[in-house]
Amino acid sequence: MSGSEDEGGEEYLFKIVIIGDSAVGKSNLLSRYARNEFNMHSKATIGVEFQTQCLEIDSKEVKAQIWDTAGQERFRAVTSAYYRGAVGALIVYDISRRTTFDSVGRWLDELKTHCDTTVAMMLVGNKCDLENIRAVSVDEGKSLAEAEGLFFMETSALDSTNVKTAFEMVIREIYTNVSRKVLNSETYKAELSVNRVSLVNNGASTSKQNQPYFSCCSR
Amino acid sequence: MTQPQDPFSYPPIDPVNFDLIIVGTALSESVIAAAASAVGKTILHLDPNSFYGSHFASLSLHDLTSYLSSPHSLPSAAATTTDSDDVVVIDFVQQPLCSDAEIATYDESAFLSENSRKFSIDLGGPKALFCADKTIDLLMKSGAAQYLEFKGIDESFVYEANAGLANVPDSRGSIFRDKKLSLKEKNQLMRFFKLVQQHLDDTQEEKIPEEDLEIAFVSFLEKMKLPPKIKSILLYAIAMLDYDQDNNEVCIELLKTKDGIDSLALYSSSVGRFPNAPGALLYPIYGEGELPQAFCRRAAVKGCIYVLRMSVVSLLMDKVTGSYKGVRLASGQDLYSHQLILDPSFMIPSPLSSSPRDFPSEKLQMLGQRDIKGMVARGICITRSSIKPDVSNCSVVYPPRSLYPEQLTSIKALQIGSNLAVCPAGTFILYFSTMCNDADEGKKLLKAAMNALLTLPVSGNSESIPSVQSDSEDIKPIVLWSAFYIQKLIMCKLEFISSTPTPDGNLNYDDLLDATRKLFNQMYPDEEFFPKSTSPEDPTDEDDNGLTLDS
Repeated sequence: MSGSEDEGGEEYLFKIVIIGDSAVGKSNLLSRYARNEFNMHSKATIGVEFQTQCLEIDSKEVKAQIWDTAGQERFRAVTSAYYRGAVGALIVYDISRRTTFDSVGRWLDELKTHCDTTVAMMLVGNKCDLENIRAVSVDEGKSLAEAEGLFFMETSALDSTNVKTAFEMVIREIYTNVSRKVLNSETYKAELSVNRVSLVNNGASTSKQNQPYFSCCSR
Repeated sequence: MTQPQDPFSYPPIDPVNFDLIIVGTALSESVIAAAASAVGKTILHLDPNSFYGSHFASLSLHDLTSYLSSPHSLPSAAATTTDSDDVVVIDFVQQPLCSDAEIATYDESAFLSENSRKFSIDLGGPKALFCADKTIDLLMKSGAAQYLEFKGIDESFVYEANAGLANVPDSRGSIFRDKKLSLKEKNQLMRFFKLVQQHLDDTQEEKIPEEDLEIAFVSFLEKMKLPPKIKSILLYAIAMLDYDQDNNEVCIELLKTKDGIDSLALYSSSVGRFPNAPGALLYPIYGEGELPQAFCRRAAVKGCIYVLRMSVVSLLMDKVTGSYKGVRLASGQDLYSHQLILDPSFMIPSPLSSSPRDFPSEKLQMLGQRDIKGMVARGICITRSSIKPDVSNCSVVYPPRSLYPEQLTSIKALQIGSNLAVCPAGTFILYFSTMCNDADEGKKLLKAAMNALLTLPVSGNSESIPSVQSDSEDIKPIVLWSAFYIQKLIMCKLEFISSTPTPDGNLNYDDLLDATRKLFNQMYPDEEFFPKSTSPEDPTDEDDNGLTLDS
């Protein structure tokens, strides 16, 4: 899991996390954006890992790896590992439930505690289709976003309002920052990136040894 | 740790019945959560801490200091039982696994304080994985590998009395490049490795005789006429033994030749297994605390419910049969399950001060009995320079008697630098551990090991001058901060309530995960440990695994 990848093929891979209270619609936002699906029966998130979405910006292929919480936010049990290396974040609240808006500050604290690579953060007021039972005004959302230096958008995963726009705005903002190479602790992150070992897609190495100890050949 | 919030602000946990309730998110508990979720069990997984990992966590400097300084311990009184409709309520006590903590800041306290969150310090260190460990295969098989990344440990050293650090010769090339081995020693080592290679090679007919495989490995090495220096490297730096194999009176674990050969095989198949990791060892980026989190994420994806900052206060037992029924949370909620797994720090003190008439309390007596199998002494240091110039990450073994004549155990050490995201740039973390029988003995061993490679200022106020190590041009790194503590080794099992193993003294995790797997098999004898999920019911797994990209 890396924050960004900038190599010869001019491909980018950005990790983005979605956070916020339970049942604000995080998973439906993701499934609407990635697969244009909406599930009306919203149980706690099970079985969802992340979705990878491709975008072309300035003739370059940009891949966004968007992570969902797997339900661990319900009792405040999101792992610190969840945040590792994220360059983008969507902090989601439900406009019809005031408590979810009041929790935004705590989610921001948690994000900043565990991650210092985030360059694009958006406050998302979801379920804007529930205008008749709105509990958080647009102005309140805007004000909090401005105070915290976040983008702001209201969305509806149910009727698709602003979903694509929200994600793509975050992705483009990440791209803009990365192409200007203004990532935090750039030198440090470069040091972190060198010589990583991933066990995934390492099948070729599983069964045979590349350089056996007792090899007849000298290294 | 974030400021502790009122746990009662959580909504009640729904449902209230589970197949399994697990208390504690250490590595064993997390592996079992993932394994049981994978076969469809309903699980509630709790931790009293605000972080994952329990005693396998990686913490900020501040959180580590808090954890070691004030371990949560409920008053250790006789257990009280209260009566209810159909259950007997028995209160837990929590006894910390860590004790005898000593923490000292010698220099740069402002820097350390400001950068506390840039540290990710292992509670159970030194810990690493051999590239060919069963743990690696488990990570792949379980799917937890997709949440982790590692780096190789660049070098492995063995400490030699009066000579300092020597490279562990781990390949044919490194043997011949070694500047400290004599030509004769190199030839002896090559001959020995060739013998082992032939023994392990199924196509070869020349094998080590059966009677040799059953004798002590140390005797076999003597039979091979290997000099003491090479014997020491093989026994302690490659086979990673804890106890002095030459001391028959005190040696607790005398290794047989066949097991010694297995250790050599593990080591040899680890070297160069992965690209970007030329040595035998891997370490997870951000620290060992990432391992339990990876398994917990895996369990959550399969439906396991996670709660942090929530302790259990009582055990609920059936009034008539004395069987386990459930637990009472700190929030006051009662939850029920068929089985319970407890962090080893939770127990019921004996004797019971009072129990209802006719209540079968003999089952409870067993809960109060912990099988303490020994202690691990652990030390941590933060330095500004490496113990070896131009090397960020390395392991060190101090064989028995390499520090002083009465040293009966090996000491393991691991240095990790900032390229693994565990400390600020320009600093290093060193971990030390050894087996011991009491705190004083353990700390004496650790301090001797530290003094061999580092400069430990006598007091925080003294102006320390770097001292030049004899027989070497290297200047010893100066310690900015250090900690010492003792962890108990505990293991026990009951029929419906299990307790998981504590961090052991091993460098790797294989023994711990063997014990974890056995526990899983005892709990669920008809279930497979992480079956391969080729089921079409899990298209998400396949899709996402296929979409995972390496950086």
